[in-house]
Amino acid sequence: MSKLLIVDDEIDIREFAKSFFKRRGIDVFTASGGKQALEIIFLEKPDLVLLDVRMEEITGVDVLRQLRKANQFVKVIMVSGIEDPEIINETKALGVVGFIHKPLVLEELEKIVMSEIKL
Amino acid sequence: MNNYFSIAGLSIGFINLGLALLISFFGKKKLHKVWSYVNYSISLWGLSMFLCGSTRNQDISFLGWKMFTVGIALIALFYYHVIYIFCNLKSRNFLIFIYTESFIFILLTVFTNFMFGDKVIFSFNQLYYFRANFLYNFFMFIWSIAVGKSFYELYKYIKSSKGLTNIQAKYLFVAMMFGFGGGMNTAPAAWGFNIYPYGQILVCVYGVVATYAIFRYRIMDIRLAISNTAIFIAVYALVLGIPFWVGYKLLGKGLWLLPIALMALFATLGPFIYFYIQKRAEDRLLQEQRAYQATLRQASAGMGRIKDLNKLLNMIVFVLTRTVRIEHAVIYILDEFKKGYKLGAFKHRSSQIHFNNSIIEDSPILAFLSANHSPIVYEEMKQRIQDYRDEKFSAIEDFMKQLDFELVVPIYIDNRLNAFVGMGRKESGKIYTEDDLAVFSILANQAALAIENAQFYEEMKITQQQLFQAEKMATIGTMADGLSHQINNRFHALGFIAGDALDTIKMNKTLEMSDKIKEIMGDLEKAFARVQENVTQGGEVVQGLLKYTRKGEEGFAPVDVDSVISSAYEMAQFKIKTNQMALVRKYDNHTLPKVKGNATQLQEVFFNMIDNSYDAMMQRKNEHNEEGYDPTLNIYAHSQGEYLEMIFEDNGIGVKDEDVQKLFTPFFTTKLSSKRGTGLGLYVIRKIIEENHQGKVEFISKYMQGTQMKIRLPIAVV
Repeated sequence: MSKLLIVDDEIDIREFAKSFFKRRGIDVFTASGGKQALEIIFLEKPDLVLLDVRMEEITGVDVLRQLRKANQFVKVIMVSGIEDPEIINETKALGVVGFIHKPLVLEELEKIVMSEIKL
Repeated sequence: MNNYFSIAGLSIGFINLGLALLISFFGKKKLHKVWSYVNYSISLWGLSMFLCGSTRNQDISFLGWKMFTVGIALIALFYYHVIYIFCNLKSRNFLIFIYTESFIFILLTVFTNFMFGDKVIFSFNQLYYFRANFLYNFFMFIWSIAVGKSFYELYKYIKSSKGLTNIQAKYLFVAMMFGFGGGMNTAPAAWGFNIYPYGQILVCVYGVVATYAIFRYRIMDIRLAISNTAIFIAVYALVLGIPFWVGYKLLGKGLWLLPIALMALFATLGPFIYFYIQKRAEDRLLQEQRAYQATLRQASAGMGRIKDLNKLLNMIVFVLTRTVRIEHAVIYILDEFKKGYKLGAFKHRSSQIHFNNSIIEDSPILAFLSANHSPIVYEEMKQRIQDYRDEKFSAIEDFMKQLDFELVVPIYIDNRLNAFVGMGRKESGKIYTEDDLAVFSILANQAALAIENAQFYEEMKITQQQLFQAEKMATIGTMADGLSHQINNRFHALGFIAGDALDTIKMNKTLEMSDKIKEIMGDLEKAFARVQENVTQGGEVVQGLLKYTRKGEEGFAPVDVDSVISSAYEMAQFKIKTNQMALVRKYDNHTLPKVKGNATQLQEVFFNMIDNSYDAMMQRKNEHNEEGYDPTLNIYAHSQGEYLEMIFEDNGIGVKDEDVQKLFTPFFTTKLSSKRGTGLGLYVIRKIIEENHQGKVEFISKYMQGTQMKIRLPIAVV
């Protein structure tokens, strides 16, 4: 079973996305912050991470940096509300597979996630 | 010989020769030329007296008296000619007559002995006098008529003239009384009357006073001149007279020390006494003038405290008209944007002259004021025209006449003509004196400081408001950043909730459901789909807002204006209904060169342009309901040397001529009151383009045709 980790500080987003992808037979984990996300990634080795850029304690970009530092090359898709060219460029350099803008309709997200997981 | 007669004659001769040479050298008009002839003639007359007075040789003396007679003939002749020119006499008959008569008189004097000399008298134990013959009497009779006519014409002229020439005429009249009175003092002895010609020296006074009157542009009040002279003579007659009288009384008594001491004492006191009395006399004579001059000085000291420019200008004209009692006063002030001078304030007291709203930069009076740094007196300008026949002066005179300016006082700030005050005539009919001009100059200096102050203060006020505005925008920008993140998250969550709900419905829709339930499911599906659509649209709105509130980029860098226009247009969509208008870009080059600029500021500018054009076009559309009216904003761009020139051209309502010049003034707005903006738009545009970017903004607008805004920006050097 493919593993998907959803990292977002919004409970609604975590819960509804989780229920959506679960129905598609994916093993969904959620994390409400960067710390928890790192733990899950090292423990569960998910196939794909949906990582929110802007979070309270550690930002998504920091999480990504720490992952790459620890030679953890899990597939990551960044999720952000702002098109900040600087962040886009940095995360690209850190090897993210996608950058999606909020708000996004679930069907769209499904397409992106499915195509990444099936690979 | 050293006698009074010859010494006086010598003084007269040299002083007048000096004056004559001076006038021949500096004088430019005919009046000056003829006046120099009078001075030459007086000089000849004086030198002849020196000759007669200093010789004991009868033949030389006879020759001297011939010169003397030629002198008096010429004096009367040229003097009449001066009067003829000065008073603008029409008839030349008498002039021709007097020339002819003098010519014969002189011929007979020089070449014959008919005039005098039948009888020789050794007068006053000093010099030979020759008794006048009948022919001499005859010519002297005609001579007297000429002199009398000169007096008469001058008198008539004084009665009918005004202003400067009137004062000149008065001077001439007084001088003439001295001159001919003194001169004729030499005559009685020629008829055997034993009167010593002490008065002859007065001819000197005549030459000097009259020359002063003819030559100076700004002459002293004649009452002052006379009182000053009288006081001088009286004081010195006493100061020098008393010691001499005492010395004379004590002569031979060995008490020479007393008169010497008295003389030393009085000579020291003399100037003090003189200046004291003179000051008192002046104060008395110029009482009225002194009073308003004091008021003006006080007023000018108080001006610095007024911070409101309009109030200040109004106060200046008000104080001037009221205290000096002039018909009107007006102040024009430099208009930075319009390249000319605009009406600042005016006050009428007893005239109804209309003042133009503005005076264009190339008006000759402005050039004159800028170059000369001194007030212009109307009378003086009239004189200058006569002297130089310069068209420039005529234009200035014309200008002053039109606005009824008797005096124009310039106000400079940093050597630049910042404003000028036009003043009408004094109600008393008196002319502006040198003293007045001095006071007005003080007033002008103080006014300059006060105006600069007020302008600075006003600019500060505007700057502060702009800063406040900018800070507000920055605050909103920062807030919007966090705000939009929050909103985005809400949309995002909403989208997921709706998406998940939709998914649940899709997954669980089965054929076993009753029709009723199926219908409900269908409705819910539609509803959630709508929620998702709205989420997407809302997200786009937030995206646009984020672009608008992006943090100001501080520096200047090469900027692609087209993309800035695009983002400004996107930004404008939040304020205006962009589907109501067309925005057409018509660039000459396929890719425009980048300009050196600050993208945030330029975006602000372009946003303002689009916003303004939109308002103008909507106003035209709503007010005039023209058929087929198609609101369009064309944007042209082409490079021109080192600049990129852009033209924003709309077909909106346009601006009425009378409002065009006010457009760049802060807080001015022509927009309908219902949608009145802050009025800062164009002011900000100009500041950003011209001050920050070293570019140029031009504005052309025609009412009901549209507005063209030209912007030139320096192309970035790559």
